[in-house]
Amino acid sequence: MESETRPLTDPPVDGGDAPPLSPSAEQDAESNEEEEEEHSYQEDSDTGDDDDDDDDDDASSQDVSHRKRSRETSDDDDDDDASSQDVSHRKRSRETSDDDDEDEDEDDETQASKRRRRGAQFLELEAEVDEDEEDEDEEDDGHELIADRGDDRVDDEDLAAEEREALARREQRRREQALLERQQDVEDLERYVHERYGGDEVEQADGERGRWRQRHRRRGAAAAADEAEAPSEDESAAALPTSVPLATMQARGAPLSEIEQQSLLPTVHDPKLFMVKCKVGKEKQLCICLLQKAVDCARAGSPLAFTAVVAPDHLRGALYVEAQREADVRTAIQGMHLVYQRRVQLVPIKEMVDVLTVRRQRQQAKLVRGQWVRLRRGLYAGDLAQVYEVREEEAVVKLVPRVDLRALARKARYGGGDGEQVPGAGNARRGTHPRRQDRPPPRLLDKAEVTRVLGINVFGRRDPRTGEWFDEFDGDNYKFGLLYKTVPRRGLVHGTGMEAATVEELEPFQVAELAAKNSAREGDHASSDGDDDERGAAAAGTEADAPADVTALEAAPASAVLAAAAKAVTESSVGDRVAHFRKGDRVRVVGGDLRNLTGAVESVLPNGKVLLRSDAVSGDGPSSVSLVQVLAADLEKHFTEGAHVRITAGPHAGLTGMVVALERDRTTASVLADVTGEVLSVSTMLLTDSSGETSAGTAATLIAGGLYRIFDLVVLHSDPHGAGVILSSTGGTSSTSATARAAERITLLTEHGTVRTVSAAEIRGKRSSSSSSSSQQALTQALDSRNQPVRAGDAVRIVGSRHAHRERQGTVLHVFGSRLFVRVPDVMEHAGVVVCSGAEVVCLSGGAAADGGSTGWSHQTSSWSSPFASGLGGPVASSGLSGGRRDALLRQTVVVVRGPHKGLAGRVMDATDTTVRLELESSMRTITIGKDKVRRKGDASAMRSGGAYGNGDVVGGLYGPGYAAPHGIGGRTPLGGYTPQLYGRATPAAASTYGNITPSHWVPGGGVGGATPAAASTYGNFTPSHWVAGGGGRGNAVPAMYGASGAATPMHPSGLMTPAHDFGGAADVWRPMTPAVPAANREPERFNTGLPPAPPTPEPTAVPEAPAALRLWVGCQVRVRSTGDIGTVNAVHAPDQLVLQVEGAVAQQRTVSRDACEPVRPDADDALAVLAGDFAGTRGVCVNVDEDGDCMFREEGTGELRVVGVGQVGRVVKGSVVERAEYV
Amino acid sequence: MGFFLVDLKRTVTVAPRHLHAKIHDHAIHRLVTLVEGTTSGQYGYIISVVEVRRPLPPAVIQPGTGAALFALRYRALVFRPFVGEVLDGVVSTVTRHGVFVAVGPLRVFVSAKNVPGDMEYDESEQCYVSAVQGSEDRLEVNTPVRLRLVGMRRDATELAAVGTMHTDYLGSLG
Repeated sequence: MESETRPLTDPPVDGGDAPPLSPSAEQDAESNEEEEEEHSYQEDSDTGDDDDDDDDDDASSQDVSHRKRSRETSDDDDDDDASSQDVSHRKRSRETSDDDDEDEDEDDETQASKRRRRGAQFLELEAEVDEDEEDEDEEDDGHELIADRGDDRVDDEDLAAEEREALARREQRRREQALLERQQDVEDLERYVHERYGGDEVEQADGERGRWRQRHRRRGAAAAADEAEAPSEDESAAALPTSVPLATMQARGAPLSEIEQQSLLPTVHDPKLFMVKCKVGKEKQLCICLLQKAVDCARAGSPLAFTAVVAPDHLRGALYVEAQREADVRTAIQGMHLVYQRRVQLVPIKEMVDVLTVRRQRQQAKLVRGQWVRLRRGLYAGDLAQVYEVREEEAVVKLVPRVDLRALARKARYGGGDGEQVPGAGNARRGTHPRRQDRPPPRLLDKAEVTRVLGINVFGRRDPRTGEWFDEFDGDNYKFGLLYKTVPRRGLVHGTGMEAATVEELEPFQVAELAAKNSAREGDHASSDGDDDERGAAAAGTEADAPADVTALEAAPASAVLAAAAKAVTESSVGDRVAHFRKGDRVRVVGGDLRNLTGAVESVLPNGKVLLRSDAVSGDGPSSVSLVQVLAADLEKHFTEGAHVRITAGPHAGLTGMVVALERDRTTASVLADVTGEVLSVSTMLLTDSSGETSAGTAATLIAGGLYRIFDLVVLHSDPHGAGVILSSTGGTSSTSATARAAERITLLTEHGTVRTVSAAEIRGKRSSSSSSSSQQALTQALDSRNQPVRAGDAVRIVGSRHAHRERQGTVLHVFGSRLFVRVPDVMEHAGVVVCSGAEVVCLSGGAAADGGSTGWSHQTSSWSSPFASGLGGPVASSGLSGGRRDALLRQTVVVVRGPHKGLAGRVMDATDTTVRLELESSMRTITIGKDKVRRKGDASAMRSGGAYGNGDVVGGLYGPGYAAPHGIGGRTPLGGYTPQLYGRATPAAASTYGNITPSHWVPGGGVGGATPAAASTYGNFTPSHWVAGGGGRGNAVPAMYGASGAATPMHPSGLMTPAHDFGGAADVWRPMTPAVPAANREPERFNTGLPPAPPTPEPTAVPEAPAALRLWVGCQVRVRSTGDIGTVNAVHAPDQLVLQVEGAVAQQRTVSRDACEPVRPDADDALAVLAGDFAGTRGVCVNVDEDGDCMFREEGTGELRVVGVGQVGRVVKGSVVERAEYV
Repeated sequence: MGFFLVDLKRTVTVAPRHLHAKIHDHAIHRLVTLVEGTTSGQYGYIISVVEVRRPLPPAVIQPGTGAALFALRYRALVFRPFVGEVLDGVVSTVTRHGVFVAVGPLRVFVSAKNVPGDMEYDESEQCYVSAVQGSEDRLEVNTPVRLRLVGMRRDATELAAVGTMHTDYLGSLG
């Protein structure tokens, strides 16, 4: 019997015979004996057949468990050397002996003797146990076992009967083994093994034995850990089962056929698998514990009756124990902490394989930014969220918060009642989530509401890691009402397992996105420029639009946008990943053995795989080598920067563009759209290579199933008198089905510069801007600031001083009444489409008329284009080609200066090189008359084109009202340089028309030459041939212009100035209406700035021109120093005469010297004009005048506050000429 | 910069009223007008007509209009960019998505990810500034830059390119 109970795991040193006990050993044995008694305190209560006397009380058993526990834990520390291992074994055996019920039928004597001997062995080997250390540990963690003990007892009682039966069987087995042990020596055993299994090598047999030992005889060890065990029991091999376990063969490395593999599947005869629930996260630890327990129990002679324990990674909160019977499992786990003792479940045979099936690592699709997911647990369980950022183990998602502000308000930290528990959001933070029905409804966080309800403000906070700004509220990050939450990746459901998003769920996301867009747009507005009215109005328009959009979204949640978004979400799921691959796609393998292999898709197979032609294998090899089958899930589209792609799905479906950048994970690409020039961020899965497509560009522009194109001018049903240019469409697919079209939302830029989003059905139709019928002529052609017709296709420059895109060049897309839709390549927003009025642009070329049809390189910067332009300009001009170019006089109002119609005014309807057809204003007649007989009616045209005139034009109006255009053009061209055709054609007209009128006025040399250096240099840029072609000599042409100015001067009445003159500064300063426009911007107007302040005039009778500075006085109130009379300046005469309308006396006009009077000081709220200093020419409303003589005023137009010396300002009379002039 | 001389062919139409002694001059001027400044996907930007092959071929009168058709052969100076080429240009537009660089007539987009690595977009100034302490490098309008073309789209009448400055020796030249 002694041999039976001998521990099987004894170290080899002690061999078969027990060494004699040394005195010290004996002492130790005594202490063992003591412990033995303590053990029995527990055991006897279960079994009752213990001989030891039991006056057990809880305290003592508790104490025991303390000690045992501490020993168990301490062995983790010192398992480095063999001796300490032994110590731990000893301790373990003590522990297990009282845990295991299978020992109960062994008599105590046997146990005691066994232990005594073990203790002796241990001592003989070496090692002293540091008992003090153990004692210290005892204090710490013993108490945890108390509860367990109680449980165990109950379990044990339940199972007692079964247990006994099982143990009887096991005992039987053990006896057999012992028998073998006695009978056979090692060699016999080996021979036996060889005969039995035909084993080829002894090592293998040993290996088998080892493994078998694990699985069958000891029935207690978990898979891989056998170090503690000494390889001493060759005898055990005798009890090997009668068939070689297939697993053994597999372990040997023998290849397995499929059938063999099938045979490995568990059958009813195999041990069963039991699932034991345990604490989540402790599975592995428990597994090891069970292993050690098994080892110790076995060593103690009472092996546990299970064959394996496994804790697969993918199954959390459960251990899987392989055993014959449930009772064995219960025995094994008895007393173990963190294991839920009651929850032992049998795993059905069918599912056993599943338990141990190792899932593919990439079974879960990769989490991609922007992907839609659902949360798994917590307050937001089941809520839809969008991935915002992906990190290693976690992801930041944005979702609609479920915050109950009222509940929060009741909390102490928000000044509510005490900290009593309230249902709602507060709970969520505590980890006690309310049930689904109880949680607050998802709503976007409204900062204003937070302030109102909680009385606190929501402040922005910079994320320390990314540097991004968030609104912080209640410890969480918010942005545009959405909550940005960090969630472990495990807590997200995505891919196929995810429930598709509903339209309702997406709605708040859309709202937030819209808000984000609006705020971005406002940011743009604020940062670029704020001070001009039109833009302000436009901004106001969009702002007014935006809320309308929001409400529209809210009102109709099932709107097309949302439906489309929902669709996009569904599409983004990985399920139809394979559908995204097409033949020829460049792909990269991201998973499996072929990772990083690149290639082209050869074909898409129906089984979710893709046949790939790899790049790695060169072309000369057999084709089968280079063709690889790869799971679609392992593939990623592969693009390089610069690739031309088409977007196949999603909101931008159909667009083509170039890949400009790739995200680091290479799953998202930035695409520069071909047509609109937008930069889009698109998942590479939605892209396909389109470099081979010839019609890539045109297909991309089709909208509403080909009904319209991008940049078409369309008219809406709702607004038949307006029009808009299509900028983009969302949600539309390339299909022409009616439903798809209904879902499409088309973005329009209206003629007022506002953006509208409409459905295709709301569009009445296209408006053609290229119609040639005369009835539509007026609609398809506008007049630019020089009264030149502008048509679609013309290259123009925006010169309107108030236009946001001043000085930019573009191509006219459409003309709508007087409004132009101009495509400016430099502008990113609205795809570069800008709305302006005809008066705000200068036509640079007759693009539509030019038969080459080339639009030119209108986007060039001036530094580049100038050389080209001048090079081009010369020959063109010299050829004398008019190329269909419209005459400069066309549509101008002219006065006949000679012949029978002299004095009559008319409008030029048509013009040739030498003649014009005039529609006379007086007599409804149209006459044809030589160009030399007409003169442009300067004042009228200057007035008409009013504020739109740039500086240069006005100067022309001043000095030679009839010749504004030639002046302007001549001065402009070499600088702008964009449009050689313009001056090439215009100049001859000027020369031939006016050259002969005023040759006598030409004063050679001196005055003009010296006075107009800028002008001279300007002409220097002209090519000589140009002037020759113009029909006059160079000498002729120049005097023509100056002569003209001389001739015009008498037209100025000596008295009142016309308001129009007020625009021009003769010399230096034309104050822009908005100081925000720097002078440098107007550099191209060099011609103008170079003019002398008061050009010499050959006409002695002419009233000298007033200097600009003086003319600022017009409209101001002045006090005549000598008399104290206050009068309003009606007009000014050079050099310093002011014509005053003296107050009080009707029609009393006086002319006084400027020095004789002073401006009237304005008071608060008076209109004022700045007469001198930096702000000269500025007008505004006085805010106050302080003692220091500083006058603060609010500048007109910009609304900015300026401070000037009070001496520099003058009060302006309301309704004065100036006021009118300003507002005409 | 890839400038090339290429021999090209173009038929020009001369209106009947120009059928006089200077018809050849006129045809050539017409050719120059039509061709210079245009873009051909194949040959790039036609900058200048340097030479027209003489003698000019005899013209054919177009029935119906009476216009003369000259099939002119000429040699043109073209600017033809290639992918991979390093080019100098001037920044023309700056956005937060990236910058547009004018390389002569060619407009190259450089994504914000491909501007020099140390550069970041400055919202307030609307330009890219270097994050390196003490560096004055900026990418703003009119900054001369050097870049490498990484991709190009060639249509019949248009070239568009994307570039990068995210490599050594590329970026601002200022």
